[in-house]
Amino acid sequence: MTDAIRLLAFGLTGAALASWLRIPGGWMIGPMLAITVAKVGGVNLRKAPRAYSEIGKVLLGTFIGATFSRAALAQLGQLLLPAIGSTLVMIVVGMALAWMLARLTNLDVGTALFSLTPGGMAEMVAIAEETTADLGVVATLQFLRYSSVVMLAPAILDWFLS
Amino acid sequence: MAERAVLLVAAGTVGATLWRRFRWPGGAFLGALLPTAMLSLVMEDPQPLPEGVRWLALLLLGTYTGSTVDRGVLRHIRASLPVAIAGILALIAVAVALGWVLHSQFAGELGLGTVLLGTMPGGASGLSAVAYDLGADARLVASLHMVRQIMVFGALPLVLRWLASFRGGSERSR
Repeated sequence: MTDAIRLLAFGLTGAALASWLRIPGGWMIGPMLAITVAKVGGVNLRKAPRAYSEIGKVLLGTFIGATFSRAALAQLGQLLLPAIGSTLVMIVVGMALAWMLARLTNLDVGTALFSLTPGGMAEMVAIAEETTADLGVVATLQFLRYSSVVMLAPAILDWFLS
Repeated sequence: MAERAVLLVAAGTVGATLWRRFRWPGGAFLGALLPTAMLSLVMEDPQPLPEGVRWLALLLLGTYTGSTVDRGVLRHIRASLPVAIAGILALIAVAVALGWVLHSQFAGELGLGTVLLGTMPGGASGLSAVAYDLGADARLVASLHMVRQIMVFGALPLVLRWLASFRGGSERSR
């Protein structure tokens, strides 16, 4: 069996396990964890072919693009412009935090930036792959961000509403 | 439905190919996303693609990313984890503060829960699900996240240029 197929078999197993365990973003984090565990455990696996990343990026970009709609934008009404403003603030804050993260750790600015940009775990990995950023670090820290938000959101809301 | 899906995938593939050809920042992902998003925004009744498309994309990207991880990456993660967690918590705190300002100044009759969940830096699907569970307006939460995604992806080419000014973060030449 070639390495490319072995990698996909490990990936599918990880995805199935993560989905079964209901891990957020399981279809991405599951394959990543399964292959990392296999490699650290001594299984000799080479880097996956570039086609995996290219096809993944095209499909993900197309999928996300297809979720945009005028009706959803219109629904926001008077909140649309303030929402755009607050997102711009978040982007700048993310860049500032990334710069600080790079200064305080041994991560390069690119890795720190894609790890903290609030744009979605898989999406940031897809963009980071175009740079010299460390993909494994980006995916792990994005997963941490995503899970922290989903876990903390109900508690934060409770606190505000009480 | 099937014709639209084929049209969207074709637009994404052509966009990604052109993006690569002209070496615009953001690569195949942004190249596929931008024409598809524009098509969806001009369509009368856009429909999302089947969830299987996203699963396949994530499986391929997850497999590729996993294959790049080695002991050095794990050391990097372990060493930077405390600072990274502090950064993530700071990001959440800023998002909550912005949500509160948005609600108190602009939201009208929209609930605080809806606006806060809409400004948090998590995924649209995850937070819409939380909104549904907590009785907030899940559709509006998803719309707010859509605005965030449009802005982030729109700003990325500029951010990538900013990044290129740092050593070690520069764009690969292909």
